[in-house]
Amino acid sequence: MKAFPTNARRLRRAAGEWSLAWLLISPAAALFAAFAFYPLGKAMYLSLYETSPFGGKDIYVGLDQWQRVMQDDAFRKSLWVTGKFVLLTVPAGMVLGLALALLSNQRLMGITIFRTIFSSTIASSVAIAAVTWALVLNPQNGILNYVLKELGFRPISWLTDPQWALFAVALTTVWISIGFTTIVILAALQGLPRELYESAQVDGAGRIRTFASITLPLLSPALFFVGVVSTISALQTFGQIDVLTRGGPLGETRVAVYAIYEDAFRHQDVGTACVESIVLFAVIASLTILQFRAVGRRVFYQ
Amino acid sequence: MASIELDNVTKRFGTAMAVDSVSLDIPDRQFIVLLGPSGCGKSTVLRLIAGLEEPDTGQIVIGSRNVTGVPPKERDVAMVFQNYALYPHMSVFDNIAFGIRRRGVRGAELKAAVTQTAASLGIELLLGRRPAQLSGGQRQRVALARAIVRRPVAFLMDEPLSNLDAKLRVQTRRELTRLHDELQTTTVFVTHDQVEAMTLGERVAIIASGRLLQLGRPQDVYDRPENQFVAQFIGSPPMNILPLAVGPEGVTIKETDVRIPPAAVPRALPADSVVGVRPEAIVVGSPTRPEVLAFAATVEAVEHLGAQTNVECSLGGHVLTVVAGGDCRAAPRETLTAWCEPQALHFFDGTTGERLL
Repeated sequence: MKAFPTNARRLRRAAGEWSLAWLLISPAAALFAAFAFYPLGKAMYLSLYETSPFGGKDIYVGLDQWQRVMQDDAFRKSLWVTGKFVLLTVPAGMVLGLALALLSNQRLMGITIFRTIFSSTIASSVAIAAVTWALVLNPQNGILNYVLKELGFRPISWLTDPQWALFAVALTTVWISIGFTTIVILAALQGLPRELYESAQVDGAGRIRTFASITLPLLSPALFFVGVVSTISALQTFGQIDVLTRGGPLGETRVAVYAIYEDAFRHQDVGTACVESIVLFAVIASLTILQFRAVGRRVFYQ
Repeated sequence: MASIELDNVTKRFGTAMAVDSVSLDIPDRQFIVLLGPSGCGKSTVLRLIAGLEEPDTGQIVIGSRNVTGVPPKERDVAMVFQNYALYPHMSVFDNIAFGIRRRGVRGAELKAAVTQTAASLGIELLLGRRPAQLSGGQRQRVALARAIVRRPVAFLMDEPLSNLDAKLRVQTRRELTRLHDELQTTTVFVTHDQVEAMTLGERVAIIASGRLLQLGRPQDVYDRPENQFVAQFIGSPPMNILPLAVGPEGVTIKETDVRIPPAAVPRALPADSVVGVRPEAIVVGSPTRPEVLAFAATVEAVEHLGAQTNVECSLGGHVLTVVAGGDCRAAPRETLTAWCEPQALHFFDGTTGERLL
């Protein structure tokens, strides 16, 4: 008969497993510690200090700094702008990405050419994309205004008109993100078994019914993933703002990360920037948790 | 319920001929099995009937209606797929209900239809589950229920038993027979398993390389195969095929002096004909009558299967399998004396493979 391991032996084995576990995760843990946990801790520390631009001594001001930042109209506005920016980019990007993925999932001659085109924006850097769009949006000789004029509309100062600037930047952002969205959804589409569609066809389902009852539910994990990832990346947008509008006009495109950047590197006020970073971090974290709670459980995983 | 008629149907995929001018009449209420090796085009025939593929030429008639070019959903047939194709995100109830919902059945009527069908297959307690929570056999039943609940004019089944283990396969085979007796719905059943074909089908259609080789009752196909392919495809172990030589002393098995009883030989025998004899038609021992085919062969290998013994012999360099009783004590390198009735001989043209006589 086999003896049960004694408590001591069990403990010894558990200790052995723990040290092995630590050994195995130590490379990842070290990277996270150096590039995530330490900066986060440092930011929390600095958020309580008034920093001086020229390397002078930091002065402890405690939560007064938090209070000041939270009541700062400019920062509040940047959060509001960020929210509008997310609403302008994420749903549009997902719908367009889904549409392009569905289109490029057709069995047609030369479809791989279109697949490549639709997903190509993933290969261009934000800076290049933004510069390209600066040309498209140029009020004098940009193609967008040219088309508007040809159609009989008045030209729009896309990047300097407070009414249009955020929309113009959002348009650029949707274009940048569409490649990623399309690739993820297309990959998910191609993983759906063909028999399910044939079965639905024989069962009498039309195209719309098949899309609603088969395709969408089975795509839900991919759509959920794309939704979470593009929300996070919209909340962290910086590059295209910096290239196209520098937060202007009148702060209409001054999203949170741009505000943080300005406070830290223009105004040399690291303490304020740290408070703002932590607020943004909290917003992203709680929004992501909320998405997982609210949508995540309705997603069907095979 | 309806008859199904394929009239000279041809389907190519690129340059590959999947279905080659197949004509097939399936009377109403019949259970027909399409049997053939994998890649022979039998599944394509089924998909053509379902409307999942359209024929290049020829037409398909269901009932009295020409359905060539009609989309699947208007053909009122139900299909059971090899991997069941259950909707993974729906409960068993919704899976079964999907087809009749599309036909406007709602409320109490829907619930009654689904529950009744589920009960007839013994899965009424699983209605709330998802396919992933079911065993292979249970999924199979859900797939059947989904087809049955629609009361379609025909069932199309694409190797529905091939993902089940051996025991469950036998059980489900019986169940299918019972269901067909009960429902009397025209059924087209595709398989590569000859046992399924023999036990299930009222008629069997043997298909190879896209062509319909023979159509008939299973026993007739076994007793009188119309060509060499069918002869060797039906029956296990497969029929022995031996080349013939025509000499001054009559017809013999090539490279041997084993003489074919003259009465059995077809009148017109092409030069390179072959004779076929089923392993189970050969009797071990010395013949008691002169008019039978008698021979002595060298034993090469012996397989004891309990109830029977498969003895592989060499006869003039040709392989010859004999099915002997479970008590057969033959051993390799021994000589086995055996005989068979002349009626058990099948003659085929060696070039075309067609049956002679």
